[in-house]
Order: sequence, then C-alpha cells, then structure tokens
Amino acid sequence: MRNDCSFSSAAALSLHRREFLKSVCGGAGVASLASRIGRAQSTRDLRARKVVIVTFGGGARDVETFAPEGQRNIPHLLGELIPQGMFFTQVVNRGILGHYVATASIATGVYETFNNFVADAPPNPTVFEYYRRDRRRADAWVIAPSNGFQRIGASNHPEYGTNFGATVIQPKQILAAAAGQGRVNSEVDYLHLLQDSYEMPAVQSRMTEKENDFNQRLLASILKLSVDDFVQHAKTLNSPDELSVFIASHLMRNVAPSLLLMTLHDIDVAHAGAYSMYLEGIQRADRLCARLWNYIQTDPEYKDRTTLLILPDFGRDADGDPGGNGFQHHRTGGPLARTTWLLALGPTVRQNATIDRVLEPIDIVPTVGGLLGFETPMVQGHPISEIL
Amino acid sequence: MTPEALDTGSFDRYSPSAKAIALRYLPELKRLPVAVVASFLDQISAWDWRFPAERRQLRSQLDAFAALPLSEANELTAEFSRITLPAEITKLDWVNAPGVLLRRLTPYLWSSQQIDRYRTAAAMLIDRLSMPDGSPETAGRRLVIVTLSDKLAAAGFPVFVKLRKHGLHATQVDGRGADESLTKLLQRRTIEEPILYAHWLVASEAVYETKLDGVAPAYLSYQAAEPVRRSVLKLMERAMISGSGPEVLRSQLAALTPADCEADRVSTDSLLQHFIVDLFANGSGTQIYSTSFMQWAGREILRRAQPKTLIAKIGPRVRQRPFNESVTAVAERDEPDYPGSLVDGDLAAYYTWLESERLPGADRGVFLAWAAGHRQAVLIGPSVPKNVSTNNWMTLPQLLETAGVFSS
Repeated sequence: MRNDCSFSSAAALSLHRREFLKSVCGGAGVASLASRIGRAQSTRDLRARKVVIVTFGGGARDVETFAPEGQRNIPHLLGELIPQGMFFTQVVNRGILGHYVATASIATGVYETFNNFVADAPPNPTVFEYYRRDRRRADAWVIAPSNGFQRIGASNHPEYGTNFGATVIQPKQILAAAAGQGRVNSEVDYLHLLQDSYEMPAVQSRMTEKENDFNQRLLASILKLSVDDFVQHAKTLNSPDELSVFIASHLMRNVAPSLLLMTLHDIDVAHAGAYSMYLEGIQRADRLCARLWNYIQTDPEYKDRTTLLILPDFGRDADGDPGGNGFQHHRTGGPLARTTWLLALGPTVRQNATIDRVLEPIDIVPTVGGLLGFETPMVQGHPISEIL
Repeated sequence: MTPEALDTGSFDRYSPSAKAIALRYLPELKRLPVAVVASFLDQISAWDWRFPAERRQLRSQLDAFAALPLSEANELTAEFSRITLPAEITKLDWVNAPGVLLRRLTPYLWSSQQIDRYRTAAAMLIDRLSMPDGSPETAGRRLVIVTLSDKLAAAGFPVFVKLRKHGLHATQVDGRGADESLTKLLQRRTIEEPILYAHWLVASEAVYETKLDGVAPAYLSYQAAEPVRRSVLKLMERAMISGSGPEVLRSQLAALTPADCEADRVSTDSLLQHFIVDLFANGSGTQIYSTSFMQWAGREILRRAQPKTLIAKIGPRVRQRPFNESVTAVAERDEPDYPGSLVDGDLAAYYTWLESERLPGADRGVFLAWAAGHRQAVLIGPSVPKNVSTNNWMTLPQLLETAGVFSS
C-alpha cells in the first residue's frame, strides 16, 4: 500500500487561474453593460436561443493550461475566447472521474454512479430529454468521438427515455461506415482502441447493420456529404476531434440544432503516457474551441443567439501525488483531478469577467434549462445565475 | 469469509515462502479489515516475485502494526471498517485471488462515493506504519541518472525546467566518452556493493550487458523486451476486438505469466521476467511508446526495487500516427519522433526524480539528468547548490564529481 496524500487545495487552483487571467487578459471583470443589454434583448425570444456545450477534451491540468508555463498551449482560449466571455475559475467535480460517467453527469445534472466501463444509458433524464419533452422540440444532438458514448443521448428513466433523447453522432463510426469496416490498419488505431480500452465503456468494435445504415443515412441526408467527399476530407485531418468539429460544422449548417453537446477527446491520449501528445491534444482542443466559436459567430442561425459553454469533464492527477502517475491518468481523486473551470460565451454572458465561486459540472443542466426555457426537475445542480 | 476467520490452513495454495510469511503475520492479518488485508495478501501471495526491498518494506509495515497498542491499531483500521462493501465483493476469494478483489474494489469505492474515505484512511495507515529502514541495504547514497540520447533535440526547447530549481544547471556539458563513463560507474558501484537488484541499467535501445563476477547489474531494454511487448499487445488487440471492455482486459492482463509472454527470451532471471511482464501488462502505453515504457520502468524500479544505482537511457519513440493515416492505410512504420521524444523524456526525467525523492535516504541521494542533444544537465544532491546555473565547460564525470560521485 502507498500513501496517496499530497494535494494542493482547490481554492488555490482557483486563485491561481484568477491571478493568471489578470496578468494575461488585463483586468478581467470589467463588463460591457451596454453591450450586454443590447445583446440580451436580441435573444429575448427563447425559441431563438441556442446552446452548445463542449467538454474540453478529456481533462487538462492547470500546469499545462492556465499556469504560466502552460499558457503557450492555450493561446486561443486566453487571447480570443476568455476576453469575450465569463470565466469561472473553480468547477469542482465531486463525482466519479471516469469520462463516460462524468460526461453523463454533465448531461443529467446528477452525479451518476453507474459503472463507467459499461455503456449503459444514464438512469436520470438528460438535458436533451428535459428540453425535448418540455419544449416539444426535436433538435437536440450529441457528437461524441469515443466508443461507448452511444447511449449518452437518452436515459432509461421511465418518464423520459429515447423518445425524448438526443441523436448521437459518433464520428469514428461514420467514418468506419463510409470507408468500410475492417480497417484496423495502423498503430494509431491501436492507440485509439487503447484509449477506449483503458477508460471507455465496453463496446462492440464492430457496428451492427442497423448502426451502419444509420451512419450512412446520417452522412447523406443530414450532413449532406458524399462518402467520397467525407473520406477525402478525413484524410486531411489529424485527429478524431478535428473530425468531430468538421461534422459539427455540417450539422450546424444543415440542421442548426438548438441544443448540441460535443465531447472532445484528443487530450485523453495522455493515458498512453506520451507527454508531448497530451500537450498537442490541449493545443488542438484550444484551437478547435476557437474555430467552433468563430463558426457560431459567422452563421446567421447561431450568431448572437448562442451560448457556448466550454468545460473539461475533470482534471488529471498531480505530479506529486504518489497514488497516480502525474498527467497520465485521473485516478487519485485529488483536488487537481477534481477541479477545473468553465468558460461561458454568448449574448446573456458578461464579457471579460472572472468568477471565483465554486460551481459543479452538474450545474450545467439547470443553467441550460434557464437559457432555453425548460424545467429540469430531477437535477442536483443549481442554475448559474451569472450566465442567465 | 472474514479476516478473523483466517487460519493456518488458509494459505495452502501459496508458495512455501509466501505461506511462511502469511503465517508469521497471521495475528496481524486477522485484525485488518478485508479492504486492507487484501492489499497485504496481494503482495504476500506473490512473495517469490517481490524484490528484496519490497519484502523488507512489507515485513516492516506488518511489524509496525504488530507493535501498535491495540487502541491505536483499532483507531487506524476503524475508518476502513466504516466502508461498506457489498457481498459480491466480500464473498470473493480474497485469500487466493486478492488482486481480483482489489480490481473490483476500486470502481465500487468510486461509484459508492467512498473513495475519498478510503484514500484518507489508507494514507493515515501507511504513514503510521512507515518506519525508517535501518537495514544495511539502505545505507549509502542512491545515484539516479537519466540520459536523453543526442537524437532527442529541438531548437529552443528549454530542457529540465522543472528540475533546475532543485540543483545545478550545467549548460555546456561535453558528452564525449559519457557512455563509457556511465558503464564504468555502474560496474564500480556494483562491485563495491554487490547486492542483488541494487544496480540497474534500463534503456530504450539494446544494452551491452557486462559480465561481472558475483552479483551483476540488472539490465532492462525496451528493444530487447520485444517478445513480451508483442505478446501483451496481441492480448489487448483480442480483448478490444471482442468488445469485452476494460475491466475484463485488466483481469486478463493481470493474469499474464512470463510463460504466456515468452519472457524467458528476454531474461533468465525469473523475478525479472515477472517484473518485465508487469511493466507491459500494468503500464499504460508502455506497449506502444518506448518513452512511456522508460518513464514507467524508471518509476517502478525505484518504487519496487529501491536500487542503489539506476541509469535510465531514454531514446526516441516512434511517432504517433496522424488520424489521416488510419484512413489512407498508407503508413510508414516505426518512424521516430525526435522532438516529441524530447518532451516525453524531459518529463520522464522529472518524474524519475520525483519518485527518487519518495524513497528512504532521498536526502542523501544524487540525481543527474542529462540531455546529450542539448549539452545540458541538471545535478541534484545534498552538496550541490540549488537553483544555480553554470556555463563552464565540463564533462559528465567532472559534473558528477561536484556531487562527490566518481566514475573511475
């Protein structure tokens, strides 16, 4: 047995981020009230509002992001997005630090406790079900690159369930359907499989015929991409997260969903133990978040009516924690692994503001409910008043 | 079965040496909660494959527990007793397969939101049972050296930033003859203190094993361990294709034996065979990237063997295949990624130092990290100034001499 205790406090992490933002963003906290009022008025009609939630890629630590030595990895967050939004320095995840169950907790507003390694539907209703049942809408979507996330769009709650769930897109499966199966042909496949293997739910790696048909139809009728164009474009991409953002842009252009959850995941390559790849994953997630926000700002369906919420599902283990292996995993449950941040951008959000009070990832669902105007009766979290 | 029910017949399926240890500490094992006793039995049941330092440490912990006043012992275990475990876990055969219980215990503790309580209780218990190790094997100074090969270089990359404040940062190190010096240093230290598994050379590439009379250093090479690596990868591939999930895969990996992995082609030492299988089966990414293997191997050698000497030579790893290559199926194999390997190796050096700092006698130890491609090194030790930089030209042996380490 080993001694697992050597933590810094969550509050210290928060303070660290705040001080750093002050130095980088130049006195965050000065709001543009006129701008806020004007923009809020333009989106008073709840039916016109849209929300996009992005999980920042599988957990990144302060030392590689907001700490001085990490800033070079997130130039877009720091230079472009944070000045336009509200940054919450302290989001504490008190649940299970496994990607599927943690993302499910973000989606349900309840700390889920089911087995992270089984691809079960969450027991509590998801934000998509609340939205669709209450608002009688159908435009709720999830884009999740990881195998095993296929059931995150709907709970098995008897009053809700798949009839009200989100449509879940799994880009890797679409690619497999488009390019043909049996393509485990390189060590990068090994690596992706390895990631899924270590941290993702059990899942059949082969698609069923029904899934294959669904993905083919999705590509043609929803994303409006030919198989050839899609595969050709995939050849130009460096990672699954880039594929996800590519698909997101087509989905937004063709369907314009009002509620979209996208889980980035490249950062979780950290489990393979190569620090350089983990840093590249952070840099890519940073770049993709900016690309997504820029897309939102240029698409008339989204511009000035969309709230973008970016948050990691959780952090990663501290270097000094003997119970872990530093950046590689998120197994210790220490403060660094539990404490992350939230960046909110949009018409109801004050710009260039930093908030230090403690939030939890389960606060996202009631906040989205407040933004889009639906009830979230079974959540554990609380609305984030600063965003509403 | 509860720990109180353990008796002299409980360990009949253990090896003779493991059984002897279990029986020696039977009174103590009977007093521990099941979540703790399984952890101890996990180590005892594999007694034959534990390094001498591990055996010493385990005996020391159980001796310390035996010496505790009953009230204090009860206080230390009370927090564990408050952790509720379901029957499907407690009814497992935790005597003969303690690892199975431990693998089930962790996810259960997370899902039942008892993980923090367990961690806190474990930290208190281990702190209390950790006694200063006064055995002769721990006397003297530990020397840990991490080298990054000259191929690991990138313009403008600041090497060893995390280490610099802890020691002397030498910015102009002449690496000529360094490999030979390090080989001699390892030999000399092995001859001076001929203790089994006390002196190690681990490398990304093949190593030349020097034959010495009596005790020889332990050698480990990622390249030479290829048969084990391939065997583990095959098992992982089968598990992934079957879709059986991570928990089943972990159980399968934990059950791997040296015979399953052709480990006898890598080493004739049965303990080392088990250790090598552990590195690939329990490490994450060690099967794919040599830099991951080197970091994990360095950490595990320090943690488990607590060596007097560790020299870790980190070379380049293969590059990560970009996503598009999985689509095009046109792929060059085994192309190295030198800049990426430098970043990996730089952090591996830091993590190796962190691990060395956790060991008994860390305050006397000497640590050297050397980036040959950048001609820079950081030396850390009790007689070495902290957070100081020098641009004097010096060879690696000259630098080591400033910490009182002589290679010839």
